[in-house]
Amino acid sequence: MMVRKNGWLGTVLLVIISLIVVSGCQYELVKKKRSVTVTPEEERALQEEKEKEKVFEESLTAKRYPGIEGEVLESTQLKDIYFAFDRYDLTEESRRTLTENAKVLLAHTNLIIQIEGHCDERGSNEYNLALGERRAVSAKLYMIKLGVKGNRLSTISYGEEMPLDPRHSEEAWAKNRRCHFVILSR
Amino acid sequence: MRRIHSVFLFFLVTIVIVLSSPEDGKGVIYIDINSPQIRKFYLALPAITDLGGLPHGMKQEVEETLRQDLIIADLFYLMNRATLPPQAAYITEGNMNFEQWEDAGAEFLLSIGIQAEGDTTSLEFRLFDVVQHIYIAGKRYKGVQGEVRVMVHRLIDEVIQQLTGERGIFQTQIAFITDRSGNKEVSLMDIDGRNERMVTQNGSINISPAWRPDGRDLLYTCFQRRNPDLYQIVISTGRVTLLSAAEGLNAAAEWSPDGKRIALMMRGEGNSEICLLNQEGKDPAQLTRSWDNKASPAWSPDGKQIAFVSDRSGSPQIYIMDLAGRKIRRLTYEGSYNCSPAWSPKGDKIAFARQEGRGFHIYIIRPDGTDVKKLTREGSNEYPSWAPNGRHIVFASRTGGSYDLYSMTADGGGPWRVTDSPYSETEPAWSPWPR
Repeated sequence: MMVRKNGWLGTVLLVIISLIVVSGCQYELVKKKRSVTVTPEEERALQEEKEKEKVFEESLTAKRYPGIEGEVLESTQLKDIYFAFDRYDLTEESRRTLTENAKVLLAHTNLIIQIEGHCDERGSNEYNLALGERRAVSAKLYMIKLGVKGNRLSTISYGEEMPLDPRHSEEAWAKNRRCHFVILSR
Repeated sequence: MRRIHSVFLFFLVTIVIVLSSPEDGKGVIYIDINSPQIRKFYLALPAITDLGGLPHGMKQEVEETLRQDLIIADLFYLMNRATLPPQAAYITEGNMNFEQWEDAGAEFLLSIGIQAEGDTTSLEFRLFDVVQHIYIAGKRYKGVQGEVRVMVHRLIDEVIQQLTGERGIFQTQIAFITDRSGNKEVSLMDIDGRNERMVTQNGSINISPAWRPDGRDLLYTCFQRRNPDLYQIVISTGRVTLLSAAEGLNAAAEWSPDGKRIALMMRGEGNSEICLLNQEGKDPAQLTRSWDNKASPAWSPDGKQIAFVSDRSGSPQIYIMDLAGRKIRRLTYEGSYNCSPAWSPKGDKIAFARQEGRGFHIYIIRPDGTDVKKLTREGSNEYPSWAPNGRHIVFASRTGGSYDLYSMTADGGGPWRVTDSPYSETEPAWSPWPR
């Protein structure tokens, strides 16, 4: 009994192993065949892909914030969005910008992003911390709607602590009420 | 860190001697600082007397400090010296001529003498009730030369204690945020803007300093770890502890009056909520749970209520939560932007900042919503913080460029400039009484 059972098991194993080997060979063949016969369209697409990747690479700059640990990347392809005073709702323009930003994230699926919410200097900095958080969350929720996975988007509020323009004018304030997008890892 | 140590380990060793004990007038309250409108009294302050050995400039320094403290105390009309009776000798309880000063219109007289011997300075005062002809009190302070300003502050605190029955504020301090180093650091100074020393020196963004009720530690929020985390620093040693580092928000922290809990803003579900931590920064308990954004919790002095800011009405307004039942009521209805509530240590008023036109102004309101008063008139004014006497308020003010700190009283005194720099000083936090 024991011998017969072993023999049967052995046969099964042999068949499985040979199947794996054969399919592996076939896979190799298919791969080779594919790599040698790339259509011109495929070639062009591949080239475009490479070009895009290169442009994206060139859009990146490493950024350190004074007094804050670590380094992030900024991309000129990820654009800021702007808000009205004491508001966190997204304007038409903000939605368009977020759509473009989402495309970048969908094309580069390894990117982990931090959305920074910022405010102008008016009002208490503590209330502005809460407001900045709201602004970042508004942007995050919209990008999730556009298909970006939520776990790729973290938020932080800097309140009024990191003005882009330190002047005390309407013009400066408008620039400072923003969400900024940085890349934490890729 | 070494620098902090050397500054903070300095403390005053002054000997206080009670001069001949007065018989009458003890325990009498001359000035009720809790009345809504304090009547100011005419105070005669004859030129201080050099009792011997004064180094150059000391008399002037004492005069200036005295004058500044008496102005900020805002209890007196300082009588013009030119109109005072000629002063033949140093006035003591032995030679005080009450009638002469009464005729001149004085209600109180403060006689001050100062003497230096080697490194030791001896400063003394005698306080008289000119109207009732009473020698109220007299004390002598002995200390080293460098401490003469502190001795004057003590002297004025004693004078105020004698007249009002309550402690004076001139030995308290103000913590604040300065951007002089290009970033925001926590700093500390006397209430006249002198004796400044840095508390944090981490090069990061540090905000919202808050005193522990015992005056030993400060809470603050710092972005060092790319998150607004809550830290605690022991002032005397500079020792820093990371208290709360929840993702999102650990901000606007305030110690409960009993020093056992910390109220702060933490991240909710896409908003910010008011939470409580224990004194180690652990055991978070969420006090509020609703869609709106909440900020800036401020304890009532009995620890039973918390005022905070919420945007649930569509704009930031101030609300009060009763901790026992978690019931919330709205406090402010006027104005489209009210923020930064600060509950008076006496419990009867809440100061806050309201947006008006292009700027903000400091207001006070009773906790029941009545008796709203505007306290500031010029510039843009934010971040009120109460002195422990429940009468003085320090705040940040800007007319053109950078913010400076000013103080005033809730009953209309001041404002008096505290800082004067090209940098921004904001978020003042007035210390509790020194222990």
